[in-house]
Amino acid sequence: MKYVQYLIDAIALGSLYALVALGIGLVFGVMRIVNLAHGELLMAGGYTLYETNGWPAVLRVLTALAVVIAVALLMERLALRPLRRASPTTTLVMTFAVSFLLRSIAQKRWSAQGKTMNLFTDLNQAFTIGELRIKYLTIAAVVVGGVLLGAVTLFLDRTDLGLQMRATASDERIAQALGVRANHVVVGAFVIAGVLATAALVLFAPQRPVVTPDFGLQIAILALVGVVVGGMDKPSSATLGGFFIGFANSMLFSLLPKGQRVFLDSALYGLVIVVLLVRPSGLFQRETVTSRL
Amino acid sequence: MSVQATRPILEIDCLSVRYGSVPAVRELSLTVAAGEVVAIVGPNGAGKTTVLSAVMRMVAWSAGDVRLDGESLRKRSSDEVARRGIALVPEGRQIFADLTVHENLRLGMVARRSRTGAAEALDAVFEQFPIVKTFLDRPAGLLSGGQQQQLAIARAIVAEPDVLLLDEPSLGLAPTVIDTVFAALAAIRESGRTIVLVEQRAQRAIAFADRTYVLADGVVRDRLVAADATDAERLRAAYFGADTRAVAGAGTPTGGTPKVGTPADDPVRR
Repeated sequence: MKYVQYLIDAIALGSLYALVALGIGLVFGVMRIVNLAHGELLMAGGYTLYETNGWPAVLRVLTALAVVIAVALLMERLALRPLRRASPTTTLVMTFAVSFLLRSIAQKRWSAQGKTMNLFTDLNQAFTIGELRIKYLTIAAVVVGGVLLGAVTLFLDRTDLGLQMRATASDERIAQALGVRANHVVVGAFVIAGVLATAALVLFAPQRPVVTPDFGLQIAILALVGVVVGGMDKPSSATLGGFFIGFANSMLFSLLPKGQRVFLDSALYGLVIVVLLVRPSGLFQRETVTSRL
Repeated sequence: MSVQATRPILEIDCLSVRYGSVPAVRELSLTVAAGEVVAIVGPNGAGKTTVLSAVMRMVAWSAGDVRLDGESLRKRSSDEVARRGIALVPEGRQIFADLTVHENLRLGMVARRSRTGAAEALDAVFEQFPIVKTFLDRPAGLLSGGQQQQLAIARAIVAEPDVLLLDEPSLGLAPTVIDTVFAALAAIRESGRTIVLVEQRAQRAIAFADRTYVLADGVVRDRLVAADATDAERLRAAYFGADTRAVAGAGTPTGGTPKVGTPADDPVRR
């Protein structure tokens, strides 16, 4: 029965990382760059939750959402749009610089000492089914994760902007030659990434209640590894990769003997390397439909 | 040609394009009148595809200008050019293989200038390319080469562009399929749309077009009319330069003396 417990916990953490990974994957899809400052969206939301402590919870979440989307849009407009024609390496370095800048601002404003977000702490309570002990947070993570992933999938499949985002991810030059506005799809991707980052933050907050300047970085690095493991070319494979990394993280944590948990990260990255050796283009990258002559 | 048909809709004026230090198009000028079919032919590396890419602003210009209906495209991005009424059927089709046929057509509609009439435009495309309607929900990458080419043309014309640019629409297709493609192009011409056709199959393109520009080494070497398509000597001269036998005999087909056209002797230029 304990393995079922492990499995449930792993699915919950996998759902959270899937949300972060989908945000990274969408932005990569339309811009062909990995946004190394993605984690700072979660950080910005985290400090918003800290600053709004005492407000009604729903209002705090909405305020965090607004701040995260605003930071995402400013990031795109001020730092990345001027480099649209630059090489991917230049843009990558820029996202790194933005990440440093935002963390430095946070450190100056709130210090390196952690601040408590204090949101939805009741979700840490659990109920039992037989021998299973299930936190309400686990249910919330799976439900919210599932609903949001489904919503984004529907958005990409059914809406014009979603279609244009998929086309841009597939071939940006041809999409633009058909009239697709690059700025629209990029802004769309950043807004969705902001929504997903806020959702992940809200679900991380009860179990990791302290926000520091590095709060988002730790989550985003792991999600990014998940995106690479899953396959970067498609939002769906990036999402599954994020789920995989969260799932594997939780599973390894549960399976490692208590005294050996210090080796969790080593074990996780070891697993990642094995996966990449076996499936270099990504664990969930199916062979694409190739055009025929 | 009527007065209406001689109105220049697309003007390429002393356009130069470089890939790094390599010049691909050199001070090239050509004019296309509204409703006209103009072909651009020439050997590999002549700069034909680069001209179309430059018009679409998919490659940067190093000098010169391109005007659509008198308005410069210099400050326009690729998507703005599309939404101003130029559509490209790119070389190698470049349909979105992972998207369905219908999704490819929906992308074609992004550049439509009118909010109304989309359904009618789609119906017209279905009538012209029944195969597109048959496979509407199929991933486009699963279509045959000829079907993909029809889809690529359909995707361009649902936008109802003023000018349709086609880059090697017969490339890699069986002869019967090429007939189908050219029949479709003939129907598009009948609808009054302006067509600029880049083709390696020179004879077919020249016969189809009202006028043809022969490109070599990034410059206009000669101009032809449809009647020249059956004149083998004339074609050889246009392709290989004036001193046909000497050049052909020397085995350097692009090394002859080109007859570089000038905008001044262009029959449709103002």
